[in-house]
Amino acid sequence: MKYHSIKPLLLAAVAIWLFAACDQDVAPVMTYNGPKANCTIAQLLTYHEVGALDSYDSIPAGTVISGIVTSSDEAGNCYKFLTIQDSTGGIQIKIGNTALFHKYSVGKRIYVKCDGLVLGDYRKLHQLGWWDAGAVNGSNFGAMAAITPNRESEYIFRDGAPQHEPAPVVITAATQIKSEYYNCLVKIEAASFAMGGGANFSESTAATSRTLNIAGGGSVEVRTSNYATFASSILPEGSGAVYGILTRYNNTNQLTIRTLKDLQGFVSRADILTVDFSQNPFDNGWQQITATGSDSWQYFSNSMYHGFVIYGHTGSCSYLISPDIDAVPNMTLTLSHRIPDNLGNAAGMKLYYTTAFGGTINEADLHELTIPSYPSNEGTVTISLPSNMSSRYRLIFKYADSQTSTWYINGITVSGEVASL
Amino acid sequence: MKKEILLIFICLTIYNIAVSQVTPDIKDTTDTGRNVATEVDAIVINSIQEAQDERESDESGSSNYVPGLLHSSRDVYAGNSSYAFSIAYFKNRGLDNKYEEISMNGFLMNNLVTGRANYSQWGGLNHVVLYPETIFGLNAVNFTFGDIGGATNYIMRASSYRQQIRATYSLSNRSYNNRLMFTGSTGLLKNGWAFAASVSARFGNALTYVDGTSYDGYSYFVSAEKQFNKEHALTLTAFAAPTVRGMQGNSVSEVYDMLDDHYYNPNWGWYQGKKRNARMRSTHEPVIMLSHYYTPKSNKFLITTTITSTFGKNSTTSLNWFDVPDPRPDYYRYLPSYQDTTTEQGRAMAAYTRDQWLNNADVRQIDWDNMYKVNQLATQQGKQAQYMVENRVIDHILIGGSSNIVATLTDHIKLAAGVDIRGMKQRNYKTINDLLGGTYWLDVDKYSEGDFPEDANIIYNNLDEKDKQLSEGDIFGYNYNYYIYKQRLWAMFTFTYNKVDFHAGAEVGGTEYWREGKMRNGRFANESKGKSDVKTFLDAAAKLGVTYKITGRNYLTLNGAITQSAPGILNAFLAPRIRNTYVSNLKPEKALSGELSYIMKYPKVQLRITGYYAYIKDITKLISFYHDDYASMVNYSMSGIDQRHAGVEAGAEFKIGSMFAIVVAGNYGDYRYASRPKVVINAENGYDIPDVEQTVYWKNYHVSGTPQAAVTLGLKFNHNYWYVNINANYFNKIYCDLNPERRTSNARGTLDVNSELYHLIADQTVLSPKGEFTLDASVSKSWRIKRYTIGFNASVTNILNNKNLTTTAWEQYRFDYNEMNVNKFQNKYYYALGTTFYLGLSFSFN
Repeated sequence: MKYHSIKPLLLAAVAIWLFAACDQDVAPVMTYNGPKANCTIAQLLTYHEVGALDSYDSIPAGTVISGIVTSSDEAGNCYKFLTIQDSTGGIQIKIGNTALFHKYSVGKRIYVKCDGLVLGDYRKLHQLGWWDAGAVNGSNFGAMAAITPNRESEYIFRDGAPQHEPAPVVITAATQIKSEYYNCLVKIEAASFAMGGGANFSESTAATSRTLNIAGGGSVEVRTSNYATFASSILPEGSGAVYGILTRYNNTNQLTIRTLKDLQGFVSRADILTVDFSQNPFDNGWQQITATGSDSWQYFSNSMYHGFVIYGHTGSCSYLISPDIDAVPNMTLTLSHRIPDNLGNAAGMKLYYTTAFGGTINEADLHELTIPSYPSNEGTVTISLPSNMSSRYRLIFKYADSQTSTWYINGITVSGEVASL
Repeated sequence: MKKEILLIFICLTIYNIAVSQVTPDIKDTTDTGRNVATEVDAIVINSIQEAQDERESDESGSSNYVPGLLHSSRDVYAGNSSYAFSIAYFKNRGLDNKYEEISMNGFLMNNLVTGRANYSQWGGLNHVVLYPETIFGLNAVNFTFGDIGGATNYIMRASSYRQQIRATYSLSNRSYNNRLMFTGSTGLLKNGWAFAASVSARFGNALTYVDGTSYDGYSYFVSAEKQFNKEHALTLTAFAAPTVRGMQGNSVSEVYDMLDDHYYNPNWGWYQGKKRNARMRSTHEPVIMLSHYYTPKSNKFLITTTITSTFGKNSTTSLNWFDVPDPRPDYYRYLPSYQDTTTEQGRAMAAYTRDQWLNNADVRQIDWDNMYKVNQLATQQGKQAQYMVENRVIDHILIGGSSNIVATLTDHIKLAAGVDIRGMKQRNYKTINDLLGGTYWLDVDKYSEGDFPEDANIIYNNLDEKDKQLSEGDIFGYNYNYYIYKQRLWAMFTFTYNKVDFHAGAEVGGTEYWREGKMRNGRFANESKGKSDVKTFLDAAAKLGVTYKITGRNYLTLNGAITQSAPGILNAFLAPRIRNTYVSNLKPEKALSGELSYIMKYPKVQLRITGYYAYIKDITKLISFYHDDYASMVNYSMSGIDQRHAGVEAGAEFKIGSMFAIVVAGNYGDYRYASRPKVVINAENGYDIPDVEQTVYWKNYHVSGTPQAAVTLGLKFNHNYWYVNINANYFNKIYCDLNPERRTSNARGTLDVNSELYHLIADQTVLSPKGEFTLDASVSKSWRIKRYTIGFNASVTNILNNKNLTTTAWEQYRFDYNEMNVNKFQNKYYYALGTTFYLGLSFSFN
């Protein structure tokens, strides 16, 4: 046997060794194989009737409930508790652990083996957990206590990957709130913060309630922990929809929002592009292209005046191009310009936008924006930008006067509606 | 008879290794030039080993690196790659060093606790620890049974050194600057006596590569032999290498990048105008061997019997602190990245921290003065020292004996067999090394204090000496012994025929071990002091191999081995420092390994290409580290780890004319985890972590600790005792060691497999995906003038000064469940040194 004939054999053997299946292992999402739920949450809640003082009741042996997680401590507001709900109701589970959102993410199904737990209340809100008989609770003793992290896995079991969060109960007026909605996900529509734009979600020293007025009538209190990551954010102005977990503090309805994503539709106007003429805008994304002639847009700055300027001559054509601007709803452009002493034709400067600027000017891609009135000397005009813009665009000023003229632009601001958070 | 000798010779050639003659042929080596040439490499390898010894491996999952063996130089792959690959911590076939058996005079030197031979026991004795018999891979061995990583035997008998006086001086910029070695040997005198002695010193740190490291090593060796007659000889050999070293520590990329220095060493700080290293390692572990050699007049067999004792201490200092900030400069909270850069204040703090790191040596390095200040204040207030330097001591005594026979049974059949018995006691404890100006220390677990306010006893590490004010030199923290006994019998038959050779052999033995606690620990009062259960394991192995001689110059060999061995005692206990409790489900480790080689031997061309495969099953591993969330030392006890190592290694040498040769040697391996091991987590402070066994989903992830692909292309020149070697080396497939926790269902939570965050958490970091190049050169020359030989050698390693070759990388054993931020506890790295050199001058007289 010559070695030439052996070589392929060797290579084949080696190939078999080497090319075994080698997909990277993936840890499965935990699933639950224990006894199925034998009690709805609504049934569970019947085991404990809330009274004047915090109290608890035991739960029949072998009770297993199941629900979908709605709470999240990702932003620190649902602190050391988990809220789940099924089609009949919701319940809060007290767990002495943080970062629950990772293990029990919103939309995940969990099972709770209730043996060893009690059903009680804190200021009339139902809770599942332990009872600490020695805890000082106002002028009494005894309070609901959290399951310690090391025992958590005896009671709470995760099952599969998270699904969508349950559809919220839609509330358009405070009178629609029913007791079976407590510990459930709700969506309050057409709501506005009484102190919107004027206060933050929580004071830094303690959890804080902020009144949320409902257009359809009445209000709820949005309760936010001072440890929430958004505690110092300013309450949004305007009105929108607010999602959250409905709770109660005695007879006050409260809403616990999980993250700022629970606030939707709140908008306010904000500047999305302003040109800072104390620095050369050509260093900050602005550019100019001279198409014909030798006149060009320049940056001009002295003790009196900062802005763009072009000293134009007949026959010149020069473009001034903005950086990319992200389109938002209801945009306006506010333009301050000045024609000091060498007024040209009003038509000598035109304004366009384009979504197709690739470094060169193609007139076909330009869409004119009408400047409604040119000032005689200096002034400010506001121009509405098209409402159908949906992507990034650039503003383009075109100088093409039929006579020698000087144009100054010393203020360019684009504003629009942005989420007010 | 001549024919048989020829056959035996062919057999030797086929294996590429010495199924060696009864006595080593060192005395026949009259070619002093070759000696010098091989010594250059030996010196360099030793110095690399020394540099690597200096690196801490506390937290790294990968084990200490021991470079491949130079003296398998008769193998065209190993001989041409072992030095070139050592810079990257290359491990042959990706196998841990514990799978290679290292013996001396036939006695196994693999440590019974770690499983690995401790090369530092003979560091500096390069003049006398020479020319081992080495068996690569799974071939038959005749001095021991051999494990799946091969076997090596050093001959340490006075008569094996020829008559000479020899002195060497070397200058280097690696671990130390100077090395002096002096050796005298008589050779075999007419009266049957032979004597040899060697001393060496390694010292100086003005040029050393890594800041703050130091080296003071002294070695001694004596050997006396009496050959009573042709049949009996007795040799007594003793050696040791007392060494004190300042260690290099590792750090995270953030620090390396910030300082633009891959050799930043967090272990030292300025103290009284000098660099003081907090991690000083001292070793002095002498070896004494008494060997008896018996060859009957018939010369049909040789029996080598060796009784050995090794004993002594090795200890490493480390900072300890109580109720004060962590003194380690690169603790994660002291880095810019710890600041919350989403806030203005956080950004300012990050910038300030960065500035301090760059400009303030007391921030960048250990602030000794501050520790003294804090302790002085504590002393004034009557409190215990807040900072101190502790000394972690390992003190062992081993006694053992082995007896091996190599016999020629018939013209075709040869037998090698042996028995060995070893017993070892290893004491492990901590002492107070330096109270840094404080007056006393209380032996309480700093991490337990907050957790158990109701139980006053729980904080004490030593319930029998509660509240004792301890002084320097006192034992504290933990104190326990390991006892290990291991014995075995083995036999290997080799059969040699015209067309086919084969070998078959088996080994059977046993291991017993237990722990004996010397302290009653407050957290585990009933399971910490006294003797643990004794565990007994059956060790067994079998090897089989066949060689088909296609022609006299073309061979095919197929070898296999199957082994079962006791799990290492270091991994057998849940919390070995304080508890007698074993890991549940402690199983012996199994390995199945095979290799298929094609070998070609022509005068101008030599080649070996081997495909190999090893499956190691049921590896047990204990990982200990400090866990902030549990505020405790935490142990991850992993069991059921399987590894699959497959690949191809090849070497070829082409001679060009009489002076030049081109060599190429490379390995392409694929080393992966092949199972889903179980992990149980426990905390030493008694924090009640749920005793839940988790599954680690890391099947098909790569095993780290070595580049899996490496190749070297070299040019050799040899003329008139000038030897020049130039090698260009390339390394790839270097992987980061894994934190098992990041591959559990807990860490995955509910993340989508396609999400970016999932990949950040679960994917294994590949270092230098495009690979790394290094270039080495060495030159040596010797002159022989009558009975004097003068030699010089010079070698430069990593000439291109590549500082980006990662030798060790691992994920920290922490995972940030709160923010899922994989960068909070960043990976840790060691890099291969940039350009280093070794210059040597030697003189010998014989």
